[in-house]
Amino acid sequence: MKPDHEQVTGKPDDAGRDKSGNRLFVFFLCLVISAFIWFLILLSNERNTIIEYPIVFENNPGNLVLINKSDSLISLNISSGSLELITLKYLSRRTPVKIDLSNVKLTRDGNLFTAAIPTYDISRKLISRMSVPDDRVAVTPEFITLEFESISGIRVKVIPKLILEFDKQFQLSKDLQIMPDCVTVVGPQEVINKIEFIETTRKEVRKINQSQTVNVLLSLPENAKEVKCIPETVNVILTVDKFTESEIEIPIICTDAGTGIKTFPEKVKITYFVTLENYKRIDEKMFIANVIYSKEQPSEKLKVNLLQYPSFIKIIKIEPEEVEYLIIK
Amino acid sequence: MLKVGLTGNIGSGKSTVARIFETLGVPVYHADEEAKKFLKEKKIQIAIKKKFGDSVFSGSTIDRKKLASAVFGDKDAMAFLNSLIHPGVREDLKVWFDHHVQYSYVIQEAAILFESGFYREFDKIITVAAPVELAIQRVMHRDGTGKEEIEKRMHHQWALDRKIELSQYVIYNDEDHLVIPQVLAIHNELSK
Repeated sequence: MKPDHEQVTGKPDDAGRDKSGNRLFVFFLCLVISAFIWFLILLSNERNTIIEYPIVFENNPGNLVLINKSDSLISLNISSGSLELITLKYLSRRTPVKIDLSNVKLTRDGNLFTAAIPTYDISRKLISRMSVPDDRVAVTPEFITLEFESISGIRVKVIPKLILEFDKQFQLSKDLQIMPDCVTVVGPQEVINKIEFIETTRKEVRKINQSQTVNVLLSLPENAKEVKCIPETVNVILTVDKFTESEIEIPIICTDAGTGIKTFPEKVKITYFVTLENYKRIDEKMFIANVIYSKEQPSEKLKVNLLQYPSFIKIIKIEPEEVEYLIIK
Repeated sequence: MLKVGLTGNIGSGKSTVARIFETLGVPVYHADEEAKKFLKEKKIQIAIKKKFGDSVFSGSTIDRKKLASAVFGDKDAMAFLNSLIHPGVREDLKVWFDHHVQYSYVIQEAAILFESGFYREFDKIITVAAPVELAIQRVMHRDGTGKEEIEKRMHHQWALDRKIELSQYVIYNDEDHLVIPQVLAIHNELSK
């Protein structure tokens, strides 16, 4: 028998190789075409999908604040061909549905006002933008229930939350002044009744070496988003002066006139900060330090109290803080 | 009448203890304060000027701080100064004792009672003891003196243990002990 080309050369001949390659190409082409047809058939099948539209409420009715909303989404359950659904769900733009509350019909129940807004009109508008028949769309919810409460306002104190870092020798020469020191908090009665004060946001002020005014945003309490502060910011005035440290020794007195008390030591040393301009004003007579002896509850040592000192100084320490004593009979 | 010496290292709180005894009605002779008075005497001022010159004077009066610096660490100078002051103080103390014989005991407060050897003249010795660090802090706060300076001065005083060994009574004036009860206990014993 005559040997074929492969047996002679050990390789398949070119004609045979081309033939098997063509067959493979045709097979894959048919596979792709059939998959495409299968996909088109699949897309033409009717299916269900839910498309959700976020709701934005605008223009609260006068003097009312929205305290509760049952739904924040309108869901359209659409029954349609897959191709349409894919287009609607993934390719079309979904803008939030705006609901104007200015003319909403309210029902009053004490301090509470309720409104039930039908979603029919809204959904009709949404459906009209789609090429889907009305009867193929189910809308939920049918009504959006809203609860409102009358806006109330109270005046509360502002508490500054500043972290102050002074340059060496500089200190506040006056207490922090807050302008205004009280603000009006407006919101649902139930929420604002729980607010006793409003803190400012935390703010760090570093390298302070002169008086300055810091504008700080007020920080609303957590879970009080419906609440507003009027104004929303306050000014904190820092009155800063250059200070020096000084000391003075003053006698300790016993204010209990009925008992002769002698303390050891008899004097107490007060260390304080004072502004340079007030330094020379300091006089021993401006200070009163006393101890109180209780016959009912005698103790081994008596605490030294600084009853009086000039308002323009800052006390750093009192030494000693406690003294021993003898009762003189 | 018992003669009681009250001493203690610098910053121990001798003066506070002395004031408590005074409050209890015990006569107290403050040797250091009395010694200062002698520096105002003309003959002593002349002797000091001759020895140390004008540098220890501020105007016509002796500057005690400058004088203390001049004698500090100089044994001869210290001995000279003591020889000027101590006889007068001893004489004054003798008179003071005579004036207080009616008391069961009297106290002399002195910083260098042991160092001067004067302790032998007393029937009882009370030493006020305080931890070194606390004593340094007290002096720094009281006089505004630097730590090194205080430590130098302490170095020239006897060690506390040595003083306690030669004392009949010790009053601990630290942060842990109340002083007045200790003073009252000694007072009651000495008043018997």
